[in-house]
Amino acid sequence: MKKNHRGEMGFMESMVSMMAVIVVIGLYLVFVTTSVVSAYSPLEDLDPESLIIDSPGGPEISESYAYMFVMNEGLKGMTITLSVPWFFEPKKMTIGVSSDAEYSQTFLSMTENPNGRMLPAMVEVRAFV
Amino acid sequence: MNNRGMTAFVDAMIFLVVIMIAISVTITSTNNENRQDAGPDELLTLISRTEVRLSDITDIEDDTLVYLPDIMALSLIQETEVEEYLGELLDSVFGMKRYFLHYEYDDNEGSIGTEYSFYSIQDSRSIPVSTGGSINITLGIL
Repeated sequence: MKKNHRGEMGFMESMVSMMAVIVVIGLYLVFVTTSVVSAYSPLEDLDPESLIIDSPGGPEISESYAYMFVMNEGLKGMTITLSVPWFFEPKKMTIGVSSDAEYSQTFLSMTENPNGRMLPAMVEVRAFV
Repeated sequence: MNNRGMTAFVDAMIFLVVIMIAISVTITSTNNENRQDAGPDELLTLISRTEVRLSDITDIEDDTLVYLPDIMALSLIQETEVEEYLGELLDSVFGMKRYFLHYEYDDNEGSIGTEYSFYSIQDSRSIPVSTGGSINITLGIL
């Protein structure tokens, strides 16, 4: 590429600069797109209160809500573990199949138990997409 | 490098700085969109609302429903199983994360976990006790 007596390339220099800017902005947009996609979690719509039902034998996992959630979100499967430390053994429910793409989250909730006890419960949910 | 070359260099540096700021803002905003797992604030709220029977975690043969902070205050002057219960609860909620729960009522104080000089998240709560006064509870997570 020829340079003039001031060491400038004129039109070609402008084109190279523009291409460099386009490449950097393109890379930034790719980064933004992948960040937004990875930030999405199907568990954002989950209501942990609805996932627990009170029964005479202690809190149980609501099978109907779990199935409805899996259907609505189009998940391949979901694993739910409900534990009320000290008072009840953990309960586990698996719906559908597992896959490599997995989102997991732990929720805390208050449960009303037999004899009027109000106890903290922990719900671990793993969603497979 | 002549004046124009210097101008182009500064221009490129400004452009890079702007792009880096944009990336930083993007990372910060996407991280905030992620739902966080349970933290000290949520757990302390649950502890303040927990009601158990007195006989559940004490040797007292009384099935009266009492709030957990009341038993925590009682445990500072009398032997109870509240530390074991809270330890099991904290272990299951925070898993491998290290935590430190400190509580004090009047001039007495107790703790669960290991005390460190720095915690990533910490929260405190003053909860009224039915026998009078308040119990101050602080929960920190490494």
